[in-house]
Amino acid sequence: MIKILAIHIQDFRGIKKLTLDLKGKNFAICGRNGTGKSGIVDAIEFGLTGNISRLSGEGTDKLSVREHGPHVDMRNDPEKASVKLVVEIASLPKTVTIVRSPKEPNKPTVTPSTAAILGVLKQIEDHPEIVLTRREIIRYVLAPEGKRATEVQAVLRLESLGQNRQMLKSIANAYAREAAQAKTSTVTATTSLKQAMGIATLTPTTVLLAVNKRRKVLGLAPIAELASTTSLKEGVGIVASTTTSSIAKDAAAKDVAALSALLERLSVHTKDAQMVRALTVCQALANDTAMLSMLTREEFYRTGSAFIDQELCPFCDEEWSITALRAHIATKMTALQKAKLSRARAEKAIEPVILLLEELLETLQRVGGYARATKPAIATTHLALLKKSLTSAKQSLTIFLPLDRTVGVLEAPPELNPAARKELVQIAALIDGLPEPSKEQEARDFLLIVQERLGNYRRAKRAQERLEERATLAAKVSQTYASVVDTELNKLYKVVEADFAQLYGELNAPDEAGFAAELVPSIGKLGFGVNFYGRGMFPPGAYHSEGHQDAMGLCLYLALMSHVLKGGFQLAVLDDVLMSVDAGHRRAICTMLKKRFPNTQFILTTHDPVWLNHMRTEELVTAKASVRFRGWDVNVGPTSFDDADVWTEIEKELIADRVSVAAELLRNHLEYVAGELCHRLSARTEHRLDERFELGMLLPPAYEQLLSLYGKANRAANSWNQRNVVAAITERQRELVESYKATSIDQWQMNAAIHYNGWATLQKEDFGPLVAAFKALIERFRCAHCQTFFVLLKEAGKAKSLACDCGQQTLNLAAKE
Amino acid sequence: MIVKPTTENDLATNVTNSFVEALTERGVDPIIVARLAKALASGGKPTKPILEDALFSEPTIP
Repeated sequence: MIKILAIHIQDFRGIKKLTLDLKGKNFAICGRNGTGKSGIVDAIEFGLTGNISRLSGEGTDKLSVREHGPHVDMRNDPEKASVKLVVEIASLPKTVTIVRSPKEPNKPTVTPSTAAILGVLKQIEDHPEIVLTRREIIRYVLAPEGKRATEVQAVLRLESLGQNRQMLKSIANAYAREAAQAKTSTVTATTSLKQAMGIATLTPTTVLLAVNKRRKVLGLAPIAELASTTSLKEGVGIVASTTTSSIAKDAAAKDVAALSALLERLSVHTKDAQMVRALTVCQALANDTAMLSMLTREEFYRTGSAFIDQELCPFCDEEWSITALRAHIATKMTALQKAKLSRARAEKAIEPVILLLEELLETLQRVGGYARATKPAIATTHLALLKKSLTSAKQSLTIFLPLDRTVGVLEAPPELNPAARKELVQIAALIDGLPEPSKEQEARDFLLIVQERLGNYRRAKRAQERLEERATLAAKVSQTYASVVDTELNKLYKVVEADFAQLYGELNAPDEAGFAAELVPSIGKLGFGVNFYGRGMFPPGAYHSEGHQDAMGLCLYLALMSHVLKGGFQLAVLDDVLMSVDAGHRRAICTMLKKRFPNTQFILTTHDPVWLNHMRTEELVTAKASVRFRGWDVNVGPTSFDDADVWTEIEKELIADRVSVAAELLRNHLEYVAGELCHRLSARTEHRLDERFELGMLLPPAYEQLLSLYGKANRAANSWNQRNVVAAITERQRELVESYKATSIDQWQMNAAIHYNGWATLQKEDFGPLVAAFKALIERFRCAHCQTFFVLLKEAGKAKSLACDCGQQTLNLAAKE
Repeated sequence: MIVKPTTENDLATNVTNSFVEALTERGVDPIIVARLAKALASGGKPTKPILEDALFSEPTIP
């Protein structure tokens, strides 16, 4: 794994230009909402993976990295936007630069670009779980069990197990369906054979009894044993036919009678029990709008997933990794499990109706054959139309969706209309009119027909057996894989749950001493229970506060990551993940991160300056390894407080005649500096809960306070009879007053119309002196030698000195007593 | 048949090894077991047709 040494962001998300020097150490980014913190998180994720999580997932259908990754002003020039990461790969060891642009998110420029380096980067690209946001915490802690399993397995880099399991299950299901269809064909062939033989039960004995009776009539030897290759008509060829008709009267009459009986069963007026049950089940589903929508979606995902064969969504052509897309669809399908079960129930109820239709079609086919065999042939136009309707009805029931069509078939199945009935009556009359066959002819016809139907039966049976064998094997393999995966995951979850409980217990000691947790996997789901003060195991959202849930999410994430990556867990970006955790627990978290993960670089963002201070005081981050954003502007992005850079930047914008940009930079910077000065000098300012201070509310109090402190220092120097110090202070006072006047800021209080909102309309020549005046004023607040801003030091609540870091311009404030 | 463990993902390898063992215990044809093991070992991400082929492919003659 890697650590980040530096980030350079150019025209990306809400950031125009920003460089952060992380040096591979923990780093904190603080700023109120909307100041650009998450833009940095996006940039890190993008730089490492080419993806931005916030632009993918639910509710982000119209968002894309290519289109919405660049700064809004660069949306038509994505090639100008870029993220450059300088990273250290300790295992190689190498320092590597990755430059990536939203124009081609999957084609980073990596320098140097050896196979080993690309291998490490590919690993990170495939598993971007180094970024944890509060949204992820919700995913782990409060997600439904089915979804949690997918999320947690993604962190554990085990998506392939879930995918293999799903594919094997899908293969088993497909063969189970095919075997069921083959069984239907066998049932139809059996019925047809039994009907031709005139027997109720199909056994070797009943078959041989019926066959040998006819063979005896023809003087043929009886068949002693019915084997799979036995021919029932053996020897019939040598017996001459005594009729010129190609229709076997007896079998044909049975077919016509069977056709009528089957059509009768299908008719709505008959109210056949199986038809009624199928209709009731399907109607109930069709009336449930929510279920109907779920059924449609389930079908859509199932069909769509078969088309995932490249790194693209088969629907919108958006680029996806195959693994991520499959996992995405699997999550959605897991959520639709209820619909899947309802569909299976309804399909089971429809099965006998499909069988009935299949029998009808086969019988109708034979009856149509009789009509065509006569001379002249009987027209069967309407029976052919009936056959077409029956085929279409069978197809609708087989494919099941759309459900309204299935219900339509069951409510009004194809019927024998008068014209078709007339054709059927004609065929029946024709058969009836055929001369009665001799006993020999009847026996001959019998053997020929039953042999043909026995052949059909044997073929159907063989196909069924082959498919059932495959279905059994596929089911066995699928169940074995699922059971092995569950066992292995169970072992893994036991380790993770123990680590998680230990981390969380440490954070909350002694309140939750003996805290325990359990991760319970079951059929693609993952239950998560936590102990609540010894009262039992409950879901995390049941009794624990939001703050506790946040901490649980972090601990579970850390437990998972350290287990998966072990020594390779070297980088984690925690994006405002602990917003609901109280101060005491935040300190404990700082200690835990430092103590338990000393080799991991944590990049933390927070909207809360107090939390930033905790990180600093607990030494999770150093003062230099943090940045605090005071504001954000669409033209300049987040404004932080690197003094030298800001003045250079303003100067450049002025040279380029971009006064409005320079004005925004100046305003944001002055607001930050004035805030810092008020803080350092303990100046009295108006209190605002929203922390939205403007320059006019901050700079005058800072100025007044410094002037007042100079007055105090002057009196103190006088009391100690330090004439040269008095002279120096008087000079500094004079310079301060003059610089302040040059900015005209005092006039803002009287005439708001001339304050900085009007700066953007100034000409370069007018604005330049204003910039110089403010720069000069800010200089009056810092030591001329060490360049640090003065700070008011107190002792026992009393002002002691006005100090700088080097001490050369430090002034004593305590007068001689 | 034991799939060679890799450092990349020990758990996935453990699953494949246990799977092979369990299939053998349950009397699945060793040829099919070997084909499945090969399919799952090749990077651990076989496609559905590959798995289907591993389960059901039959020898052909010219």
